[in-house]
Amino acid sequence: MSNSVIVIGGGPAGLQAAATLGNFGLDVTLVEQHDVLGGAVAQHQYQVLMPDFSSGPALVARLAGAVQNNPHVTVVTSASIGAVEEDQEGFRVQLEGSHPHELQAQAVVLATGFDHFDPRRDGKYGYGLFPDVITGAELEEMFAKGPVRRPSNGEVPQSVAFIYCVGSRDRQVGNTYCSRVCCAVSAKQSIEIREQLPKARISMFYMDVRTYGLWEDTLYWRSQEESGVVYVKGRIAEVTQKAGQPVLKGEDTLVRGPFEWPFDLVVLAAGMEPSQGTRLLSQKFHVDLEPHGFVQQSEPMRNASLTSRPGVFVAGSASGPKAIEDAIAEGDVASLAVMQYLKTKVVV
Amino acid sequence: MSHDKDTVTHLRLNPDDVGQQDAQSLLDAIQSDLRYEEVIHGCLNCGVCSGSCPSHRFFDYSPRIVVQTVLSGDAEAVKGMMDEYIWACAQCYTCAMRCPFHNSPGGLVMIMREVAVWRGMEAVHRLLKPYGRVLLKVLSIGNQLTPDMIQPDFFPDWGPKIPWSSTDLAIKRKAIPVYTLQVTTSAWRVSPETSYELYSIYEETGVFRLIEEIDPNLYEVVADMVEDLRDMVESAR
Repeated sequence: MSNSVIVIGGGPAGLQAAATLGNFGLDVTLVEQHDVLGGAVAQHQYQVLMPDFSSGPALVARLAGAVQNNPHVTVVTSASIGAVEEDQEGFRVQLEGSHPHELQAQAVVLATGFDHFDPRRDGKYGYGLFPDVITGAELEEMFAKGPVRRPSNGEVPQSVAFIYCVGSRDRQVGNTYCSRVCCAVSAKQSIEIREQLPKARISMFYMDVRTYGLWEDTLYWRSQEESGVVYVKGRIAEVTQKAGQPVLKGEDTLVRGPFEWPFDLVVLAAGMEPSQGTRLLSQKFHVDLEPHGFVQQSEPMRNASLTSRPGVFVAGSASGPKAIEDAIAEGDVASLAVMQYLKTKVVV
Repeated sequence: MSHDKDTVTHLRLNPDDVGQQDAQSLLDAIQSDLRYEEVIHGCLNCGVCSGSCPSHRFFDYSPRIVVQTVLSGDAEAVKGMMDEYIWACAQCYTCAMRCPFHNSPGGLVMIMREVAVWRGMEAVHRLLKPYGRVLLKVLSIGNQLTPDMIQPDFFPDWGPKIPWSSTDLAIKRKAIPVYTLQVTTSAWRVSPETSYELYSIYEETGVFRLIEEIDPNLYEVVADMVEDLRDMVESAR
């Protein structure tokens, strides 16, 4: 019998895994719940990607093209996973959607990704209440549509604030982990805003700036040196609104003490959470979750894609917050693990 | 009454500590409080507590600095704070509601205040001065505020009905269809037996000794009151 693999999730990790497995001649079915491929990159129309300012649409086109033009990969969009059974021959997965049918596979890759934290769950930011308080993902959508404007009145913002760690590193909302990429993504966005608004005041409100590794100078330092972005150490305590302007309240913990500071536009660096799909499919495939609710990597020192269940692999942000480049790398890591698994599996 | 050693050793506030003001022993008392581990887990130094704090906005007071100072282990600095700094806290607990570490800086301040009171620190003499009448009520019947303490001009923040509420008290209280509330000199009817037991608790736990330390005049009044009530209850038995 043929070696067949189901890859669930059509974001960067799943697309890369499906393409690589297809390139090695395996029979791959890629299942995506939405009608477009590309995951969050496509959903929020990311134009310019962190960390290298490369093109989001070009990335989606390349990754999606690699699976669509691959004779070994069948792409099923607008579909979801129903019942899952495992027997000696592998997994039998009921596919639901416009063309329900059963899939059989010897291995499954969960590339079910993340959801952005919904800042409505943390009332102190006034998100959903004040029109000029938006999320980082909404800023990306704004970049895709045209120049940055205040949602409340369509005017050019004279001042922009970024609030870090929204929905991350916070016991109050139940997420005690760092979402890893928001600091660097915010720095990238501030550099982009500066290109549009040479005179605007751009301020970043942070508890720590975590622009890991090579992103330190290429994003954090660059945003200050080239773009004149100001960093204020103090986590925002609340956002109110005065005379139609969001007002940030907090403590500048290093320099000036308490402040109430109006801005024309406020961007919330909302963190990453296990997606609904990650939560649901981890149950269907009986894989363990780590304490924050992401898929547990059972042996990360051996291979990042191994889960608690043989034959089920994980790639991308389903196992924890990570950058797009890391998600793509894990698509290949999972492909390698799948091939090793199928090679050693005794087929009856 | 003598106190049984076995009873008092596990009391949070040791009666023998009244008046003890050595800086390290104050910090030890704060950090060994049963609630300490619940209110402080560490500190990310993020400033959300101070940013949320109404007192930080208007006074030289920062809940973050309180937490950091206690965590630093600098006993003299902590003792210095207990004299005036921590008394700017309004105990609104917005800090606790927002702290991403689930600390309660307001809860820490509460522990520090209790230790300051228990040790009879100078600040407490000063701070408790305006509350002599309340203290006397608490000590005698366990109520803080009683109907006869309501004055037309005293509580403007309680709203425009307060002048009206302070008149014809006895009749208005009689109109409350709850027997135990039909009184004016206490918030509810307190039996002599209740006061009797209350005094035993105050004595056993060192509260009377504390009052003697921080307000000798008040203590004299209280001591007379206690003696009279005990005579009355014991002769009625």
